[in-house]
Amino acid sequence: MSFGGTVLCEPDLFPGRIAGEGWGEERLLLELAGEPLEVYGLSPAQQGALRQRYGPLCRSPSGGAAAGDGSVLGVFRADARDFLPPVPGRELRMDVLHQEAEVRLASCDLMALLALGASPGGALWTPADGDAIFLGAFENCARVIMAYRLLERGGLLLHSAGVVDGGVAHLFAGRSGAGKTTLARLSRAAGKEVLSDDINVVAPSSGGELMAERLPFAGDLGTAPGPPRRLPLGGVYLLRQGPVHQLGQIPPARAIAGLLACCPFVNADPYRLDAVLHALESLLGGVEIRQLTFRPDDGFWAKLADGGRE
Amino acid sequence: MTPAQEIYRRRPDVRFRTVLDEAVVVRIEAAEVLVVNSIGARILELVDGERTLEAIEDLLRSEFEVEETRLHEDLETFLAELTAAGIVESVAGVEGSG
Repeated sequence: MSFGGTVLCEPDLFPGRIAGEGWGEERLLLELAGEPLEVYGLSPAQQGALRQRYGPLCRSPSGGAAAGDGSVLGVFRADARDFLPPVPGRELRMDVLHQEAEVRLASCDLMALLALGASPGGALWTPADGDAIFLGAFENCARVIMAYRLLERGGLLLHSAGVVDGGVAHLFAGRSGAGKTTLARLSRAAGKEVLSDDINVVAPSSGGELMAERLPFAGDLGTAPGPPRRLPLGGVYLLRQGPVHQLGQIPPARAIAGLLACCPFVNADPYRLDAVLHALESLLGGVEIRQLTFRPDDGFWAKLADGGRE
Repeated sequence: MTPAQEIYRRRPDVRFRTVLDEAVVVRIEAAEVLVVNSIGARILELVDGERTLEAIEDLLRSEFEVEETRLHEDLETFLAELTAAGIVESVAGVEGSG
């Protein structure tokens, strides 16, 4: 099936450039993990929805077309008839087409074209005004933008539960079903701060220290967007559930292989896979990556505290 | 062409990175990741679309302490597995079908 074939009525008519009829004249500047994202072409309803959703992270743009060294995203109208209706029972998915200079996205409620490189910009075509569908389309697009922007500075989005303990962040990485939300819920019940139960940023600071940062993208735990939260990275764990708590060493190549599966979007990009592997190797050089097997109680924190000793 | 003169190469959608004594191998189109040991990593480096199996075997023999017959058999077995897994392909096979 060619790109967009399962979600678009006419995949061949996917927009070839960043242009279209904006929903309105409103603009907004979002600060996501240190990456400014200026959004233009918004209707008042869309701008209001974004302000309500991302409140502490919103700023008014200072004017001009570009957001300094950040990204610029135009929001344009799309006709709802351009999209195929969702098939009952079939999982909603986003089609992604990786190219050397751009990435194309298509799902049942969005088309997006993201230009990569020195002047990152993009377009989001959506039939939705300021409702939950619009917010979902925007967030899906913003996740991809973040993944690519972070990679450019050696950082990664990591499917992980992020939990603060002892002033540092611990990231528990795993794909769906690994137990991220369960672990986050147990940690929160134990009085610990949860950054996200779904996706977190790991990136080097300007001084080279590895940092973890919260993103305002809700997981199943419904973590509300708060002000930016950035902490030194204390540890990364490949997560799996089992009958006992167990913390084990994992050979470096296997750690990278495991984490690669947790780096959404960029891990499937043939033009940037080498950069992803390089970023993972740098991560491995800065923090120990271990395998955490846990059962559904908070006893794993004691295991982490004693470094895996009995 | 004798088997010794056969030439293999990594498929275009395959990336690999050596990390200490193992290598991470990624098949992008299939979204598959696997890990191979140090000899496997070295074979993947040497399978470049230019070297013959004979040349690769000679290089491996000079780099690893391994019994000659066993090296020959293991190399053929490993390349057959990599071919079946879609990681490498025979240059003759590809050009012959083109």
